[in-house]
Amino acid sequence: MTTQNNTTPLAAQVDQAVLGDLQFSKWRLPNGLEIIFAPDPQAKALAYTTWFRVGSRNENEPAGETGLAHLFEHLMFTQTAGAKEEGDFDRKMEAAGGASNAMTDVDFTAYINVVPPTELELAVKLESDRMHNLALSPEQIENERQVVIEERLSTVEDSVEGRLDELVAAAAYKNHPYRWPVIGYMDHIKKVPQEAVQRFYRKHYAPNNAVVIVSGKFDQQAAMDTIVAHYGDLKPTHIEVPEAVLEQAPIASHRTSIEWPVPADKFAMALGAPSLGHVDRPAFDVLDAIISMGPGARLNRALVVQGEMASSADCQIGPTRENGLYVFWVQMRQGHSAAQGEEAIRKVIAELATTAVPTDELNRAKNKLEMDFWVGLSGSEGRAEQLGMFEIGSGSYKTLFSRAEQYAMVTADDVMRVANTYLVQRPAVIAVATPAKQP
Amino acid sequence: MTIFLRPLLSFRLPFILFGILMSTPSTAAENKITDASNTPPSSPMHFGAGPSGSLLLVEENHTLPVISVVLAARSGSASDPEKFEGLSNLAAEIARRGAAGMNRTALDNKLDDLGANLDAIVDADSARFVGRVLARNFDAFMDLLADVVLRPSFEVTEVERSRREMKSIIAESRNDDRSLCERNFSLRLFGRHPYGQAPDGSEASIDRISLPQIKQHFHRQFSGKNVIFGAAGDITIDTFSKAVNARFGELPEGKDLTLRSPTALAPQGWRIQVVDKPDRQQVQIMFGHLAIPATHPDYIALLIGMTSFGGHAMNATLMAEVRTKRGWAYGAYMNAIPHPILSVLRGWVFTGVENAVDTLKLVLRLYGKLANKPLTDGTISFFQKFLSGSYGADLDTPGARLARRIAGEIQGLPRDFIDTFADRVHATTTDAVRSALAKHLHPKDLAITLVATASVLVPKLKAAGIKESAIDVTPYTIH
Repeated sequence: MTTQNNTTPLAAQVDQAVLGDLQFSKWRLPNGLEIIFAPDPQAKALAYTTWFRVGSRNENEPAGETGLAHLFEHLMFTQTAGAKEEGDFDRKMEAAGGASNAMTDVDFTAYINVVPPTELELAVKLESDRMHNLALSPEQIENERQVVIEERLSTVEDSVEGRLDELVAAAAYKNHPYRWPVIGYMDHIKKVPQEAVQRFYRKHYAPNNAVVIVSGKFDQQAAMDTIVAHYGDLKPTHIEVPEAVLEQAPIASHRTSIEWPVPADKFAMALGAPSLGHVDRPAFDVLDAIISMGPGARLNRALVVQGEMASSADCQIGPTRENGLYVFWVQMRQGHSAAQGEEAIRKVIAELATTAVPTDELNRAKNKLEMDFWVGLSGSEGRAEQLGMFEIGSGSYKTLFSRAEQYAMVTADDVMRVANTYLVQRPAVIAVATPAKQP
Repeated sequence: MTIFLRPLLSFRLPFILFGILMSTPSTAAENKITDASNTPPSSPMHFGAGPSGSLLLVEENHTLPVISVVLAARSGSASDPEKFEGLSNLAAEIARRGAAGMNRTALDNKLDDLGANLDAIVDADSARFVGRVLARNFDAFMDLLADVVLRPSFEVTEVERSRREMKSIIAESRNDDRSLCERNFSLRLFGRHPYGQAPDGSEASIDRISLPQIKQHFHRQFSGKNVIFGAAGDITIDTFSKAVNARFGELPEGKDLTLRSPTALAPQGWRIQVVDKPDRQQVQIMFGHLAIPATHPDYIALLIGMTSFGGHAMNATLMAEVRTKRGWAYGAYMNAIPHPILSVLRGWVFTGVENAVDTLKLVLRLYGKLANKPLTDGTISFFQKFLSGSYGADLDTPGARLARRIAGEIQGLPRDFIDTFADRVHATTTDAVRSALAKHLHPKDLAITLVATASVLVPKLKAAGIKESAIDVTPYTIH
């Protein structure tokens, strides 16, 4: 592909991939902006998404600036320098039948627009404008600060999962920036100075720190021409890539508890996990599927079905660039303690570390992962999100497509090896919410 | 693989599920529907006749080698007898946990062998088995689905185990303040009407349900005239029709059990229910009343007006006034939740306890204004464009389209409703929107439920002039 506008620089193709009838390609502009196309003529909508390589890990915790990446996610919807008034982005987007959202994680901030296929140019114009042109007035910063405070009240202060998650991360890491909450600590959110907000924008929001992923129904040539026309002249900036922190969490065993209005003990138990791009991740995903994917998985059987000690039991692993946590989430039933749940989990892990998984169970896990793979690719928005997470978390969206082959090659020995490497005789962080005592 | 996000991964907007957007009845059903002129072409939707008076729907799309399958009964928890709430949910769950000589473990393993999943999902108007399977394993999956529906074991040990499990799930659901608010709001709004109870019932009602009741209810619910077989994805109508007819021929004919009565009593005046939960730093606020069903001629006009007020748009009144202008809440919404005989207009706001009373007063005042002060042509036009344009995103996957079509069938909507929805929105006049809002909103007759710590909130309510006699405090562990 070439661009039709001779006044703008040509985009260079980086690579391409094919998956059945679907074709994918990655491009790079001279200013460093990367673009991934995932066209689907059958789609009803168009997802135009922008992924910045900045997340909570890029924040300065000692300076009291946690939550800045997430606050910024909100501020990006306020007003650009050329806009007549606040809310211009949403007004134009919604008037065109589009809907926008955004999300922040430890390694990325993503802006998601789902628009009618006819509205590609609008999405390109609005996104390219706010990449370099945000006004950031003091009033707008203060207003969004209040909204984020409310968000934190909802997702942390009044949420047992939010509180436990925060306790686990704080204890599991020592030096790693994954240790503080993505939304930030409440006192930091309330106090972070406006200059820090301005500084953060200049430092991290630039074409050479972003990947645009376009998925759904669109014409690829027209999309490239529009993108080049609107982003081609944006200047790159100097991006400081933080050095990887080589810390395999949890660094030490730790237990903590809080009182909460829960029917019985609810707990989170964190062990180590490989990063999304780690060579061990495919085997670990198979291990995870055996442990927790679906009602027939070992964890559900041990705690919910046969043990009848919990009402729910699940596991969670993130799309992190560096090694992170594998967290068991369990809600015990009345009359059963977190200690019983922990013992049952350790038994499940010990079995996997010492006894080879039967072939039929291994195959079941692989089948479930295959289904999960396809489901993740259904829909324009879902597809863009999968591509974005792999592009940021593993270094290439193409890792996603190689996973099917990698899963097929995982053996029972591989499963046993990763169980021993990450889960057995490793430190564990456990945070328990116990029923509040009646006054 | 699907990436699992951290629970604390933060979003600009909270995730909410809106009621399904429905259109008014008009054209007769067709066997094959093509897309509306203003939506992009897609694979066709097929309707057909299934065994024993059932209906078949297929949404064909061969992009990915996956098939979604739904077997939906046209009756859900609203068909549960009084004092036996949760019967439909318990029956469907137990059927999923053992069939044709397979116990729960064996059935789970068989599904996993196929890379498939199959869940029992029950809401007020429907009980559904919802599954996904790799296309190459479709036939084997349909064998298992037939086992679950036609040959459930209902084995005593599993029944008792499931009963205990359901009760623990109900207890766990109180961890989530929004869910807690929804349970109590429905009860407040509907009282003893079947829509008042949560689909999973209560700990007490679960204990009262007997095994013969479960068997009888399940087989009555999953009978030919009361079910819809749906498939979406890498499949054709011929393949699906053959698969269903070959396996479900013995389905008893039964009858359509769609709830048509009784008519619910609308709230008169308003009282405030405070669901008392310790240590809350926020207050969950739900308010609303009954309204016209999605089949009513005014429904699209009402929907446009409600979208301008509480739709999932930053320019909607609630988001603009509560969040953007004042920073009082992360989310503020109001939407229509349709049922076959009525709909519920329900607002939802969650705000810090310090701003809770002011927020409540504000949203109620704004709601009154919506009913009494006509919207401008510009506002209506803006939200017509938003509503019609964003509908495409809601229909982006074959599975999503299938789910909408099945919901439309249950609610009695025409079969082209999703295909013509955008045209209908555009064709609605601004006067019709204003008239629908004036006619169908009842801002003085509301059910209001708050989840909060009563010892903190009630004094604030009283200080704001609300009489103690208008406040009911309910412990959070009751419902």
